[in-house]
Amino acid sequence: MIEFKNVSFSYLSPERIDVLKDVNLKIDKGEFVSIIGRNGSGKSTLARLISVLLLPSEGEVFVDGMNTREEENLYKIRRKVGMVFQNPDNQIVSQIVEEDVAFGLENLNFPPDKIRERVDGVLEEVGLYEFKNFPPHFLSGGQKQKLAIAGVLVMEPEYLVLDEPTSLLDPRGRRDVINLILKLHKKGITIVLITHRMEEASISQRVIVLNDGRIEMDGPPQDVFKEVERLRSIDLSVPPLTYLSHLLKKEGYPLEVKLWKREDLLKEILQLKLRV
Amino acid sequence: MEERGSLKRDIAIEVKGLSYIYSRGLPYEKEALTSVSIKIFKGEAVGIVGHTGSGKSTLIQHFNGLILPQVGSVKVFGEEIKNDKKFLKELRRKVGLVFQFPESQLFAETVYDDIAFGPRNLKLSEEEVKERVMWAIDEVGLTSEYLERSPFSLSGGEKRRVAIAGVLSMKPEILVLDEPTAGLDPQGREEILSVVKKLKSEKDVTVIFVSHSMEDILSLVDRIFVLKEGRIVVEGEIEEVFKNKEIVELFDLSVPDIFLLGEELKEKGFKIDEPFRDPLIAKKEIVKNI
Repeated sequence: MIEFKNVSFSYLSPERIDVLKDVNLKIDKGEFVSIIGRNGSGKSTLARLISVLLLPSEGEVFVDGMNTREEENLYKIRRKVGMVFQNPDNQIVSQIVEEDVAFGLENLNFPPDKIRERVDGVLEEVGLYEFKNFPPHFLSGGQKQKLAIAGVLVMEPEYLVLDEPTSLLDPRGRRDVINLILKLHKKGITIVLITHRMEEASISQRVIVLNDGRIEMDGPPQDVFKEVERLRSIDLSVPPLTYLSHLLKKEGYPLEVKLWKREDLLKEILQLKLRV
Repeated sequence: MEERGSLKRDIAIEVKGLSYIYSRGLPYEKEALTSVSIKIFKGEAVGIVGHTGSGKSTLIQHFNGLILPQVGSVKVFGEEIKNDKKFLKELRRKVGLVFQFPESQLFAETVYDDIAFGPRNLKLSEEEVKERVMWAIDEVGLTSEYLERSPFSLSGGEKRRVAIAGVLSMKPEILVLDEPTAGLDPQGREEILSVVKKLKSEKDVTVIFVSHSMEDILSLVDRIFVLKEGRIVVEGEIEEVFKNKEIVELFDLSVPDIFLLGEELKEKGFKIDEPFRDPLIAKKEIVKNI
């Protein structure tokens, strides 16, 4: 479990900025949580506190009961928590795909045959096995991001924290990466996905909305995205079909505001016409 | 002039038989464009879509002569692009290109100086420069209070708008935007889209919009070109293209649900006058029917 207890985080220079303010949060093993919020709301800071790239200014963060403040926990926590960033180019270190994946294990002095086995397994899992001898720059954006994920997976993390992993990818790359994340979740890895894309947030089990350093909303996507006015008041959008149902409801039509599937909303609108 | 439907319209950009090979003659040469021919009319907004590596960026860099044609030709307002310093200078004033992540090119100490850089290079008087800066900052929806600030103190969306203002201050007749909303939060994206919509509605500017986002494309453009492996594989009015199930499937175009909902309602007998480009239009059209 990941636990935040009264966590605040501030940057002190050049001027004091309070990024997170008294955040309390629990994420259970096996959850798929997405975190949304506008730029500057504290999303990336929250992610970095989990992976111990940052320490809280006040309060405590625990990963499986280990306090991130205690130095002897650092390696253990980093082995448990894998982190993936927005730009895959900044996360690739080697000239050959399979060497890049092996990097973390080599640093841990794993025996070569064990490395071979794990690297092959992970490349197979993310769908890059056939490219294992390619230089990374031959890969597409989506493939590069999957390579970055592979480099983390090879360490067999229990938690995977992804900071806007699809925002620089084209639609195909985005779809591939999201499908991979879903697959990893099914395998039992806890997922914390930071995203600007509401359709990505809506496939997770739980959406946490950050606003100005505080948790504004926390619940299943069906509940969170109903609150159209509230989300829009903090500069967040809702999926277009949800917004449409909200607009129609405001016109006085008896229509539920929720995450709609297109075919269901179509039926509902046709029903409305019959009833009127 | 060109006959198109019943309208006679001036052509802004005409590309004919354009091919381009990177690292020509080397073992890893790569053909980025193959026999591309397109026409873009004055005052229209077109979208260019395609996956990463499909040749979009290579194509648009031809429009202001950053890349010169190897094979084929590019005409801007009837004049063929040629390797002539004076010609290219004038061309780059007419065709403003906003690159991906343009905020990374901000450099001056104040927003004012950044936007003024281009007009100053045109050797305009400081008064004219100021006029243009004031106009451009307003055009991108920022107040003049921003002018004395450092560009680096702004949010991502604000920085990007300043970068666009820097291009607008040259008063381009054609504005080319390469992935202008990539990496922005929803609010930043809305801001950029409304800037482009405003430009499109009030001025005679021709807008060429390159994007992965079909939602952005749908909300802004009249026609689209789909590039695949360096070739134009689809070209047409956006509704016609999005309606065509075969094409959509074949080229993996992720048509937004909101648009498809409109088409389906039409099939079910709804009278729909305007395609569903966004939820507001959709609401207006649905309300008329029930």
